[in-house]
Amino acid sequence: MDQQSGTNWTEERVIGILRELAKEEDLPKHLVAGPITGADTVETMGIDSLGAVWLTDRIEAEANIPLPDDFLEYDHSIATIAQRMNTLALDGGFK
Amino acid sequence: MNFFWPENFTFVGKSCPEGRDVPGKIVAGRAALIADLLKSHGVLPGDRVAMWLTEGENLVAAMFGCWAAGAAFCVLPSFAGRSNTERSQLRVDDVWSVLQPRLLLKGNGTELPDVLAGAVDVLELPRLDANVNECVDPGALVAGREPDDMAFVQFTSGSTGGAKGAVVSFGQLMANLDAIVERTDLTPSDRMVSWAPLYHDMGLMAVLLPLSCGADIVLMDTDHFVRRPTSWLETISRYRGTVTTAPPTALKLLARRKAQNLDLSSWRYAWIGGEMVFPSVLKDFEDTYAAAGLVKDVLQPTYGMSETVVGISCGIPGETRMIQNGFISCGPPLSGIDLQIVEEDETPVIPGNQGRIMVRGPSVMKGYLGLESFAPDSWFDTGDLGFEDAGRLYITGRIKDVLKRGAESFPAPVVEAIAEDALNLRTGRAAAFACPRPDIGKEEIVLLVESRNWSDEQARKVAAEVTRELGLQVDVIRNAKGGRLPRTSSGKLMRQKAAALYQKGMV
Repeated sequence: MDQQSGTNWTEERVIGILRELAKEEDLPKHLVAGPITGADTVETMGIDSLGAVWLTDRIEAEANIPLPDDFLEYDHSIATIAQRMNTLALDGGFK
Repeated sequence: MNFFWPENFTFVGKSCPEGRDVPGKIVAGRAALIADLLKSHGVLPGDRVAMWLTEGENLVAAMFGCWAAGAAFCVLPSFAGRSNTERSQLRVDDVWSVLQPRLLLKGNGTELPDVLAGAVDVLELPRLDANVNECVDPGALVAGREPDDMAFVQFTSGSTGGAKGAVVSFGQLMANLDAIVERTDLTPSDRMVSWAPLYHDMGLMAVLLPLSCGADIVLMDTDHFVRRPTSWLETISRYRGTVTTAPPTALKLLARRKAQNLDLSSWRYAWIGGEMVFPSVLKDFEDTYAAAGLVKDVLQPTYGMSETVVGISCGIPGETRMIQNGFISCGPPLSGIDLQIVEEDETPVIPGNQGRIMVRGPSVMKGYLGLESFAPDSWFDTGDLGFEDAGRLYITGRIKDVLKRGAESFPAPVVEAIAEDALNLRTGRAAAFACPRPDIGKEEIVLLVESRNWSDEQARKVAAEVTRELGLQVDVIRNAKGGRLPRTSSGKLMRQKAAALYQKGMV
């Protein structure tokens, strides 16, 4: 397992993915450069269910492990996402 | 009027990702049971029944159960359960005052959102695993229903944000189903695979179309698709689906995230609509799945709305998609649909020029629930812009103040009101509109505000509030350049002008 797809999921890494998707115009433009913290949730960032699908998809592709269907909810924070990813990566993904 | 019940319905969801077959006679038996329940709870012919159901199996049975009881149904729009804010409550109250349902049907053990509770008597359906007698004559479920009887009500996002219930009669329903079956050569050998939500006209039709011609149905839970989009293509592959429907957003997503190990060679037609269709999205998807056996031009743009049951036009199977000035053809109008493209003063445009799309025909509704009926043979103004060329309809934009994202509609004034409340702005200090972006294959949703102290924090606040209340993601939120939005001399916001100026980078 390479360094990027391992258990080194940090808030910064998740924020980096958010900013990438915002640059690609799949997530709101204010996420390209605006302030984002670990406490921000999917909802407080203005991401809807479709945006959440894009986000889940990108994280899954980066991590290269299967994620559970309920991986992302509106009230999940960036810190929660990073924690869940580290747990899932340790387990080899959702089974 | 007749529906042909399949030997089996197949339901696919989180609890049964591989699919579960339920005999058609059992689903029909459940419909008969629901009809009896409705009658015993005082539902009379001509009544309306609201539905808050999530399981496809219950929804199909409940639809026919309502019809068997002589009632019309209304699958409640998605906003009904989105949030528990005062504004959401007002929108739901508006629906209740228009619909005036006798009952609200809900699934067994389903928790109702707070905004739905209290105003209407609730009837809980039996558990899905409860014993049900087979119904040997499913055709009897709709026996005696006349063409002028109300079949269902679909709520649309009116341009003011107020609830507008499009009334569909059995006559209009059958006229539209027959026209679509004819255009797309649907036969009993077809198999529909659909995840489209049943509160949406595309989802409802994805169930009723196959039933109208004896084709098979594989019905996926919408939530299952949302949580795992590849499941749609996997289901088509597994069940040898031949026809399906989807908004372009779904294609865009799956072109980027390629589903693996598929055989899509059985797939022969897809109605692509619900939002603006851009040629690049269809091409990217077809290129991505060509190796999986997807045949070129299976994806056909479709145009329609609840007010016309669902369809106004759709592509001809196998026909090469036509593109004019960057816009893609949505095919010829369906049989029986008259189309007219008009100027602002409602005079016909010079052929080939852009104008407002007006329609009339046997599947165009006669009026909104509780409002005055349209005059016989009058033209219905779709609120959309387009042009006709070589008998094909092209959609170029929208005049009505509705935003679309992933085939869901949102009233622009409601989005603006949320922004104004979030920032303590006066009414008319925000403008929401959609901006076509062929370069990224979607309509961008833009919200401009007039704020003296603009900051990143204000953009975040508005974005969060709009998502919380409506479940809508706004792509661009910013202050109007120069701090001013265009207004009439009387001070009324000129939303369309703001959109035009935005596209030129002038506001």
